[in-house]
Amino acid sequence: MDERFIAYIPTAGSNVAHAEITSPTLVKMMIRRAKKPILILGENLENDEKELINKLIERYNLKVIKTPEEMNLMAIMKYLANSDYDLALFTGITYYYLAQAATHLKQFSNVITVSIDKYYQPNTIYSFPNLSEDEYLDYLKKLLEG
Amino acid sequence: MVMGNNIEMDVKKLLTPLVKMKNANISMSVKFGEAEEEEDWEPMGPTPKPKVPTLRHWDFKLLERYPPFYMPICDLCCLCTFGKCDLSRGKKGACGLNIKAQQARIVLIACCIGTACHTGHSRHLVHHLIEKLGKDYPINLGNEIEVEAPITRTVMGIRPKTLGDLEKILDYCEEQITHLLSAAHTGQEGDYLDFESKAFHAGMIDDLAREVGDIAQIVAYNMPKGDEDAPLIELGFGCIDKSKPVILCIGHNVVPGSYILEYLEENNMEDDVEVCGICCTAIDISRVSDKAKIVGPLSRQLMFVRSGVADVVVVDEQCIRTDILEEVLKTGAVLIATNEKMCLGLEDVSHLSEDEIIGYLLRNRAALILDEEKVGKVAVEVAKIVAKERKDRKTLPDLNEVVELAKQCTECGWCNRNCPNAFKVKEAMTLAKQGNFDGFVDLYKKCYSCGRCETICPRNLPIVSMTTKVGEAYYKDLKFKIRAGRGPIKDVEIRSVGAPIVFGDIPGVVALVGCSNHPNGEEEVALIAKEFLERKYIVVTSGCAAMSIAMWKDKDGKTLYEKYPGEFRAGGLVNCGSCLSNCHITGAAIKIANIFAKVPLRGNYAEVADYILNKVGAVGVAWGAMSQKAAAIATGVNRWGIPVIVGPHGAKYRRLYLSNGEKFKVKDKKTGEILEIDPVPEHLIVTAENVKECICMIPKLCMRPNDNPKGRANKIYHYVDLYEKYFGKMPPDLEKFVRTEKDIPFMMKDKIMAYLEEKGWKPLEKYPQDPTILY
Ligand code: SF4
Ligand code: SF4
Ligand code: SF4
Repeated sequence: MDERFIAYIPTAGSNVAHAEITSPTLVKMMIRRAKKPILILGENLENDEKELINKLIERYNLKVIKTPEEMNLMAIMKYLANSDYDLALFTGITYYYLAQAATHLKQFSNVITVSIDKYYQPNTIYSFPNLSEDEYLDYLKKLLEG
Repeated sequence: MVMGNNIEMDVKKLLTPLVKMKNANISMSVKFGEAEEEEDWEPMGPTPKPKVPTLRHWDFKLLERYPPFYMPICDLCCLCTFGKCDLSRGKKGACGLNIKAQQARIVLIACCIGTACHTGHSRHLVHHLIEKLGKDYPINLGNEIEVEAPITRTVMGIRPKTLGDLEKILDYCEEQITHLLSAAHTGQEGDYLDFESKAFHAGMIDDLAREVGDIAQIVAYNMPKGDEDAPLIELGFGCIDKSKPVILCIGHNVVPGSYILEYLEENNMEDDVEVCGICCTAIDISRVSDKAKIVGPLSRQLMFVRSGVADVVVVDEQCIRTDILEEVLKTGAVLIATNEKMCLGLEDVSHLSEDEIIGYLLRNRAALILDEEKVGKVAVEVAKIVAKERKDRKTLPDLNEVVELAKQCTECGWCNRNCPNAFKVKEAMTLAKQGNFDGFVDLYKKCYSCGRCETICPRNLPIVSMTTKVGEAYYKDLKFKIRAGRGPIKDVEIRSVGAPIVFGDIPGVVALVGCSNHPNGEEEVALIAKEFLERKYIVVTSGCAAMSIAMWKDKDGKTLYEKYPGEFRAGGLVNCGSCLSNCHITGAAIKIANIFAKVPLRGNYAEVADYILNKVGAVGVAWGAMSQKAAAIATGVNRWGIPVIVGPHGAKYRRLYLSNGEKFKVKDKKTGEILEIDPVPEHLIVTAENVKECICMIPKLCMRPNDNPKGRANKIYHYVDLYEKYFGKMPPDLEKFVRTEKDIPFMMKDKIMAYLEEKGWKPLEKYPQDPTILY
């Protein structure tokens, strides 16, 4: 059993289709290809992580919604499901809460959802694997390279 | 009688020649019977004893504005052997069901479980009390409570006068539950909105059943009847005197606990034996006697049992750990199960004499006693003997042993991953290896002792016991005060707050209710209460949330119950009682419609709910909502038009009612016009990720179309002030809730005007004087 590819909280999966593991290189490509990407940014990031995420936002000129500061996560999900955003990235959101919320987009929309959080998130379409703190910073740096 | 004649004529008009006269006679005599029993206290409204589809038109109004939002926790259905079926991404099950309907079906099933639980509990109580006191035992809540049962009046169209009347209400509840549950069978209901309407119906029945149960126990046990000065009761691990024999009651049903108290009183042993409780039984026995003590909410269950303080554990029904027998036996204590719903595989010894049962228990350590009367003597006498036996028994590891245990930890991290909250158990272990307990101290504050970390630990470390030991060693002062549950709100209180609530001068009624599945421990519930008490909201509470509020003290060592009055008024903190007593919170909203605004209640559900939705600024907060009962309660409250906020775990109920946040339509009863108005209340049930979000959402969900400008300005003031306090900025959606300039609080005029200009805000041309969605 490779612990990197099962949900961080093992009971957070939703059974049939689990997120495909993705890498910083692939996420970069997805962002570049997307017509209308968006980042949903939670509050639970460490300072150095936040810094790198801010650089990412600047670098790709990403539209951002901060949750819960600017909008309730469920209201965001509802909004995205009815919008023309085609790629939604998530990080910094309470793990089990995003796990549950993401199932709405998974079942009821065509938005490509990507978790770029530290832990493998089964209910988005793509996700980083479970990462240690250092590995995560490394992943975020790779998102900024090139 | 005029009533009877009208009905007779109606029945005759309705009868076609094809209907046999026999049937007509039956239906007429039923009508006559009811009319005779009931004197003419109010004309009968359109929907007495509503059937499953009777209030569907009302439900669909709500569902149109607040469409269900689904988050499937599982995309399979495994309810029948056609399947299991993969319902993901538009696929249908073998029976044709789609995923939305399946989610709604699961919510209906959850609500039915919750409703059945409260109904079963109430049935048990009423049945027992009728056996003891007789069918004619009167329901009398005192001179100050004339509207004795607002939910019953509205739903059933009757005023219950005796315990016997309560039985009839339960007959109705049980019939409805049967129909509702059967709709969840394979190949029945197929539409998600209809499932939702049925879930609403289950929720309403739940409300009704709780009212029956609480009224029955209030009158039979002489619990406080709306008494704002109900006694302050001791709460917390620290208030239990371990030098005495200790009996711990867990669950929701007051009957066995009350016999224990009665036996102690009759034998003058009240000061010789400690009787304490966890969860709602705790609250309810403290409504029977101020000698009973409350250990704490559900979240402290495993910790307290493991601590080994209890000599006898008496379990009744609901919210008890299902492995309680195993846990109790480990500590050398004795377990008594007392309820048919939870027999735990134990031998039924009800037929034996009390002395025989005592002997049996001392030999076998656990038994099922379904004759609760016997539990009184048995529990006390066994506790006295067992306490001596267990005198020097140690059940928790000592601190040195905690260090040694921690040293066995391999730091694999699975405890963190299996914890529903991903609490930092591994880190606590790592620190404890060096004798540093900071990690465990922190864990103790938040952990709800579910034990999931333990079950996965490959080293089998007793994590909950370790946490409990550290908590015990580091928190000497686990002693608090809670006001005993006072039951209903008095009519006179409603009269004095009716107008300020309806016009918005009292910014809101916040009901903090429900279980202990908090994301960060109990303290957050207390902080929510404190914030809104200071702002002169009315704070109402019940159940485990009421206990959580008690588990916080200010710097002078006072709890909120000691600092704030127990009255239903601005700045009052009202503990209604156990989860059954939640009915009095809905009841207060109904009474505002009735006593203040003279809306007739009798069989008049939709009009009453419409009044509450549009005019009564109340919001329910179930920060730790966990059980199916909580699902039923929230859904029932929603049908009355009261919005609910649940914590992040509440997302796992898999269904919310969210509006689009865009303008709503209502009719102005004054002018007959249909108007577009601000979206208030914005949602009907919604989650909040953290306590900051929850606090900021409360003032928003207390807004109502009926607020007058001064009232709305007051609500907006708190919304803005709280947002600035917790997020350091203006609320990002404020423009939606400012109807005209008059709604802007004077103290914030410049700031808000600048914000509104930036957002391109335009005032509403008109807003209704008397809003309704019933058109
Ligand atoms: S109830 Fe319907 S969806 Fe569920 S397993 Fe049976 S056939 Fe499949
Ligand atoms: S699961 Fe057990 S062994 Fe693993 S880190 Fe947690 S306590 Fe240590
Ligand atoms: S017992 Fe406490 S730490 Fe362990 S899994 Fe449950 S909540 Fe988490």
